[in-house]
Amino acid sequence: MRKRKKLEFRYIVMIILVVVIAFLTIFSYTLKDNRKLNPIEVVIKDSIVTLQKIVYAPIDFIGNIFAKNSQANPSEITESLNQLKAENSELKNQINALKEELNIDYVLTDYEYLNATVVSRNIGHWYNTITIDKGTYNGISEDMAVVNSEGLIGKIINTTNFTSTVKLLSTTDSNSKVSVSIYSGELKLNGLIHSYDYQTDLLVVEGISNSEVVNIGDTVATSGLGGIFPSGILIGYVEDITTDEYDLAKILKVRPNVDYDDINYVTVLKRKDKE
Amino acid sequence: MVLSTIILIISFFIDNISSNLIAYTLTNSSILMTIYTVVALVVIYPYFDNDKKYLILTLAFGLLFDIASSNTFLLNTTIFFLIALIIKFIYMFLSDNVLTTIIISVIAIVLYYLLSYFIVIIVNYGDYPIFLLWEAIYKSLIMTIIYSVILYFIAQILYNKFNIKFIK
Repeated sequence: MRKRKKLEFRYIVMIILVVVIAFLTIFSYTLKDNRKLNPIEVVIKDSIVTLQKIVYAPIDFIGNIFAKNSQANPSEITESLNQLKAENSELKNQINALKEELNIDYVLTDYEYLNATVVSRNIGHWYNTITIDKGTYNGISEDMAVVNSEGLIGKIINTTNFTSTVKLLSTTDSNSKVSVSIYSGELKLNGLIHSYDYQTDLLVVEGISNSEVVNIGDTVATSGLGGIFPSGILIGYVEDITTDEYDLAKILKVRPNVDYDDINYVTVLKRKDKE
Repeated sequence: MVLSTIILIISFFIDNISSNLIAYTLTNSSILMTIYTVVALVVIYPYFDNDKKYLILTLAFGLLFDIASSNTFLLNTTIFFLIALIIKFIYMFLSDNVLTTIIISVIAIVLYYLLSYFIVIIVNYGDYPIFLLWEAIYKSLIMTIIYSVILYFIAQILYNKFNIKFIK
């Protein structure tokens, strides 16, 4: 009798183990960033976000009333708009001249800018993503770069018709390594964002030889290598420099220019010739 | 059942809207954060006589949370289901009052963060230091207690008003 009970207990433990392993296997697949959403997921997500925007509308309306009080008057806005238009035209001419001279195929102006609003963020705590209110209907697709006026935010990992999920740069995900350039005086060095230091809120950049000269305060921007992010998008500034355990390579800690805790509006970069 | 579903839907939308309004992130947890849907699951349980219906509702909202909120699939469904089983188990030994609702809500939220943390670590989704887990747990305690108390009394008023004793 006791032997039979022991056997039954063993079977139960084995079944539980098999179930746990099976579930973990499923989770490792479903937690992949590049997982394609099935049609049911797309419909549910679109419907929920639309409903959420309706529910959020009154809160947004009240927020806008308060914001309007602090806005500049229309004549001031028109004046600065005209000034910016003139500056923009002049800069476009300069860029075209430089592109011809340097034989560069793509610069940031070759991208179409799609503005979007953040509708939700990081629910469930560990996923380090934000959801924006533009999707495939607006021409957004996976792997597009997402920026704001302060610099690089992240990239699109999946889309529905009217929403997109953005994976933030502040992640330790091994699949999200970004190639960067460090501008140290006249020098331009290439490295990789290896991880994110959650204790100091700094990005960790590796892959730079110890013989290279890097200074605190040097600018870090995307290098354009890898094909996902266009070159020249600001990431941040070097705040700390150490070396690896063999003294062969430098480890840079970079203070991101974007405040990842305060992102409300973003811009998705879409290459113009993709259409 | 309709009233319980409405309570869950409202809590689900609070989850989504508060994430945007309070703007809490992985590195910047807020004392106003919690998983409102999980707290709602704790509060509505005593009104269910039919456990099967309660578990179906849990699975449905877990799936909704997966798809619409956290961009995952089946992960939150499983966690919600496990939490629902634990809620059911604890309520076998405790009577329904505001204090037990608070205690079970806190247990449910701690379990949510623990389970989700260990799953993302085991499947190598991210390399998150343990202090982020403690931060998430202790910072969500205040809002968990506040929301469970508010929802407990609202649910009591509503179920009494509509004269619902148990959902069969």
